[in-house]
Amino acid sequence: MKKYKLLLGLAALLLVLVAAGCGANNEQAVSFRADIPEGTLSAEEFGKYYPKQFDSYKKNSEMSNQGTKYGGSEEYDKLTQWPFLKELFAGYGFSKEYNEDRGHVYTLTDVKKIKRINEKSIASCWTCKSANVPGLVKEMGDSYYATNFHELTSKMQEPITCANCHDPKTMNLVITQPPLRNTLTRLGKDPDKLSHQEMRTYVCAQCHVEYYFAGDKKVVTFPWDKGFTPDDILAYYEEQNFVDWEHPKAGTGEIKVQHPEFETFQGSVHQAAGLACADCHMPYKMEGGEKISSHWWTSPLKHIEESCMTCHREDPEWLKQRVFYTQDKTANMMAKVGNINVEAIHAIEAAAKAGANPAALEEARKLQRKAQFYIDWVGAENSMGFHNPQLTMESLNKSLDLATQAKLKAIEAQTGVAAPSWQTPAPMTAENAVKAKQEAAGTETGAEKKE
Amino acid sequence: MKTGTVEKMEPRFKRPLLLAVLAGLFLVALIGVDSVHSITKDASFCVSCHVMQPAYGTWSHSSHREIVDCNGCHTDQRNYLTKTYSKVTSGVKHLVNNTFGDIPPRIRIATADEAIVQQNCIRCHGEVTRNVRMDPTRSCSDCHRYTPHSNFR
Repeated sequence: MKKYKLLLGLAALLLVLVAAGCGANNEQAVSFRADIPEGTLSAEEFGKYYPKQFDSYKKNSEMSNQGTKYGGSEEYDKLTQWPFLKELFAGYGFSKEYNEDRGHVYTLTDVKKIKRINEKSIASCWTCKSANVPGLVKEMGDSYYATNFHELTSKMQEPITCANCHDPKTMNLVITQPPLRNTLTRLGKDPDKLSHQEMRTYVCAQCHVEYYFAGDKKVVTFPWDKGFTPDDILAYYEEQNFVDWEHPKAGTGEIKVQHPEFETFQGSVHQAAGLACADCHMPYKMEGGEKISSHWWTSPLKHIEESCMTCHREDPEWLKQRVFYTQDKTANMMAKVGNINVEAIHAIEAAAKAGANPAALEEARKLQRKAQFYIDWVGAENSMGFHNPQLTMESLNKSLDLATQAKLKAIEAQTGVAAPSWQTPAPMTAENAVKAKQEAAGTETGAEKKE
Repeated sequence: MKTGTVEKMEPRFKRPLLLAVLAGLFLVALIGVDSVHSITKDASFCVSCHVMQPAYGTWSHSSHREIVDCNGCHTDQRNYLTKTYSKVTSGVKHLVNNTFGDIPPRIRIATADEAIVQQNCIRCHGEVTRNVRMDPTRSCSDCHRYTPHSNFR
């Protein structure tokens, strides 16, 4: 009898253990709360707890343009691809070396070897290259930015990692980069109170934006005070009389635009439909029976099935051709507008050498500065128009118009012969056109009656 | 509270009678509700109105056909009461609209019903999407807009 009881007891114990085992398995169901210690920066550390996401992050080291037409993650020379850029950026670092960007894992390698960095470069250039930056800015305050670049090289241990966008404890999305935090606060938006869907865009906007080094402290600042459109941002720079460098041929104080992906996306059809960067660039994909968001940031053309086809159930090849339709048109237009921009620079240079009318020449330079801003907006933006086709074409059109005016103004300065100009009226709606016609007819009949 | 009629009745008689009447009513209601549920549980009932034909046709060519019918996604499946309530409210709405209403050429889901569908997506796909953190203002169908009704929804 005793033996029997013992056996029963053992069986019960076994059952409890099995049940406990099953229970433990089920508890892993909520897999995104590993309580990684605060201050963890290394992607490998995060990867121990989130292996599936880490696997996709590691794909960022793959370099390929496969499936894309205008750049994936292979490093190639943009100055060869677009010869006009070398003329536009003469006298500035970008004419020395300007490459297609590789993945987040290459930031440290690439910033260390690019020829644009010289012995005078400042730490501002590290800002979007390392997960160590937010901590350093906390330590050093705004004096971080104007510190010599090379002084901080040893402190930059990590490239862009999980820590740039995630709180290690909760895995919540978080804005860590001081420039975006400062800019949002300045514009009255609390960087810690954005909705999750907003965050899925704003964590990218920590870096994939237009910025400049403000004041003597060279603080990385986003020029968003007037709005996100190229017009708003140019108006901001005009007000500040901001100049990145003096163009040696044109004698113009130029602005260099930096990758305004976030700003360009604003107002596009996909943004208006409520999509975030992550919806296309970090699509959900099935991995071992569960969905994870891909952390392989690249052209969605490489994974149309996950990115586009979740919403657009068309043939993937057809979808790809639709993207190329936009990109081809943008590229063709950009090449043409680039040429006119170079002609404007050459015309100003020739006029200045010939001792042209200084007032007219100054006008030509002002026009050239704006023309260059608009084409650079498109050239520096990494989607060949796709992030916002209409805005991109508008920007190219503005650049074309301004560059043509600059060229003609320079010729006028040299020869004294002004080109004919015709001020077109503001765009008129059909409704207004009907009214205008009626009013015109009304005054005519009125005049006839008087006679 | 005592009323004149009850006072006149024999005390030992009144309570069981009341209970019996209530129980009877409850039983009738239950059978009634349940038979309504059983009549309306299949997609064939929903498609008995012509306007539901595109919804029916697209669903019947989708992979969802094998797993859930109209009610599985479009009524509140949390419990018997919520299921009954959501079915009665939208059923009456559909009845009125179909009889007297102006049916738009393209029927779209009512905002209130979107939440029910969303809840039902998670009901089945919760395990698979446990790693997905979704903004509460967004729904699965924002992206999966062809599921399961093709481009008709």
